[in-house]
Amino acid sequence: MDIREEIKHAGALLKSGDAKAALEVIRQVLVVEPNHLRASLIAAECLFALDLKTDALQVLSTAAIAAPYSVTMSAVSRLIEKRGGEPSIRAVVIGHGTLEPIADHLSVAAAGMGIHASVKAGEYDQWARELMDPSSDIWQHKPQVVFLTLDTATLLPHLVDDALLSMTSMLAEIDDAILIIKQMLTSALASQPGLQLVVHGFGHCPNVLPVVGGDLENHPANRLAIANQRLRSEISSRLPGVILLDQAGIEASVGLSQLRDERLYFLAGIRFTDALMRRMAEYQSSVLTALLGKTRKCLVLDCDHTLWGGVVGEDGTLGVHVGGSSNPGNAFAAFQKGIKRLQSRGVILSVLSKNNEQDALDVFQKHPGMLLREADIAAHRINWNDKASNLTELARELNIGTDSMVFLDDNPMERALMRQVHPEVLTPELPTDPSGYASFLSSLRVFETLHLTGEDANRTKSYAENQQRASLEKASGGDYNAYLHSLGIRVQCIASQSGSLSRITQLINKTNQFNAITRRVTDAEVAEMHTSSDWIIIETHVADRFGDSGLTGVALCERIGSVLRIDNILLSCRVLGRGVETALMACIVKAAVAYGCSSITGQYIPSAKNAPIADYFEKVGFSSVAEADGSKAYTAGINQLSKLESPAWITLETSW
Amino acid sequence: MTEVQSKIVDVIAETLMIDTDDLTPTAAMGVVPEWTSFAHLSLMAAIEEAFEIELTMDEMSKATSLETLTSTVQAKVG
Repeated sequence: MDIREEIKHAGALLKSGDAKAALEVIRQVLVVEPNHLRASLIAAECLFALDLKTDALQVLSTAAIAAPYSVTMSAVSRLIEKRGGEPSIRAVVIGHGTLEPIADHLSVAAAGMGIHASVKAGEYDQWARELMDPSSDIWQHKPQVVFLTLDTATLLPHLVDDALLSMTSMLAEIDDAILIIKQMLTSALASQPGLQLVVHGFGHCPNVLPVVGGDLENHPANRLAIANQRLRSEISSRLPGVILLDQAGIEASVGLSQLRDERLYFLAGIRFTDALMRRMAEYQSSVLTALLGKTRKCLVLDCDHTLWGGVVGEDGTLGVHVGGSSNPGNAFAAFQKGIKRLQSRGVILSVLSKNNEQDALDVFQKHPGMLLREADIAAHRINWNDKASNLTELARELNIGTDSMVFLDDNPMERALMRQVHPEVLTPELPTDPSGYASFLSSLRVFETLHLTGEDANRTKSYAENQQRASLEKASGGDYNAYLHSLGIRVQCIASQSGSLSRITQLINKTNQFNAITRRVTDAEVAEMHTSSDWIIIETHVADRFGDSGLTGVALCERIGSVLRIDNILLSCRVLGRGVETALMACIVKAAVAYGCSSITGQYIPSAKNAPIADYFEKVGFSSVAEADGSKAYTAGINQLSKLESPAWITLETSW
Repeated sequence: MTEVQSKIVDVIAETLMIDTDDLTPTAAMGVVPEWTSFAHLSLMAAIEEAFEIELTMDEMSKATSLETLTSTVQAKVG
């Protein structure tokens, strides 16, 4: 095949409007030469024309990463910009040095995660002016997120250059620089409501002499760590709406000898190597994923050859390899340790295996080398049915969407089948050698959340408690009312506490099913509502005899004269179906009375997933007053709602 | 066209995503619209990889036409 001719042919077909035929031709080329750049660009054009945007983004991202020159990145990001249509998120990269390559890398990395990000670069070294001046060009792009990357040597020249700087002078220099950064950030947050700022922490300086010997205090690494620690305490904890990325850590993960290409730096002011920019873009994309509420929540694990070496059905309970100090048991144990680490960050674990159920469970219960035990697994399907339908059942049992699941299986056939039936499930290629499993798992950056909260640490426990609730329900012989009474549910609806704000933001952004308008928010917006006298944020805590589900519900209400407007109301799916939603509304009514309001309004905007809340307002006594495109507006007088009682089986405690 | 030059033409076409037909002997930065100062940096990286050579900053900033680029690379590969 003459590749050049075939590409020309495909290009001509595309021009004539036959994207389908063009795609057929170009696919043949890509079979012979995978990731061929021009062929990939044409393939992406065809896919865009055929309205297969996610596939187009994937093809582009893979091709660009295979040829990581900045010109490739820039061509790919231009094509995404031109053909991608409406972006899912808009971002700007500002800071020291030449920023275009960073912006290009970001749009490519985001495309690889299925996100169409429209990314613009700020001007060389103009970050301070851009943040302070609401009329500067970057705001024309209407960014939801701004990434700031700063040069340590420019901001902290003495810390970098003076070998014998006293600790006092060093801290003074650091604090001065941080103060300036803070002022700029505060000014931007004030002029751009709802903006999410992401600051890259201080990075390493190339060409700094290390201190030989024991003078640890003056060691460049120690100085950098001190600067970053102060940046963290000043920015992370005091400026909601600002996220800090660990730039020094990102650099270390790529290697400190790969910070920058000196020639490109001196020729063009490019401060980072392509390898480093690619890694930075991965982290930046994880922030976008989390902001868009696309964080994966659940790990679905195969057993034989995935969690342990060998086949339990043949080798027996104690015959499979896991744990101990020899290969391959130690590699599987390391993989399980990585899984437990994710669990401690709130990822739900489930097992999906073709085995006799008891055979597999025996390993969890009896094998001394297993780190994962039955209690760690929130749900399992261990049988001989096909994995795709089993996965659907797991999602239903855990009450989560299949698009929040990641499926890990050593068997390429099972992976291919899963991808075909459930393309929305993330089914990555697993390394062929188990020694690579643990490091592969840590490189999967799809579970990122912006904050970790106490609720995250207890999530699997909480799902396991749901299982116990289910068995109690069975035991109560189908008398659902008696079952609910026996749960001893306690609901606390109180005005938002400042310590809960990050959990409130997280819950608003992660809840999909029982979420009236599915509008995502930033930390800054929540902090603003929290302090405003017009807004009331009600946080809802739920507990019962099986455990404490923690902060699992939120209502955002605004007082407008004599009306209490419910902007949004949402509950985690873990507490649905037990009357908590009615208790929460009863509390809102109490609050409205306390504030002297005579009516309450509500709204519902349909999404792909929020059907469970569609008839909520009507159920609790609201009347629909307007309807457009499936969205509804509701209103109810206080008298109309005063009959609403919290369910008898719930003990409700409120601030009002 | 020497073997080196024809390989350079291929690398330029591939990196800038243009047709080899668009690269006449007088091709240079600014003359070929896709060959911008920014694209030039990528082009240099691609040339280094294709020929397994290393260019100095001075060579990079001077090799902005097909002609000078060819003589620079020719001198390095011998």
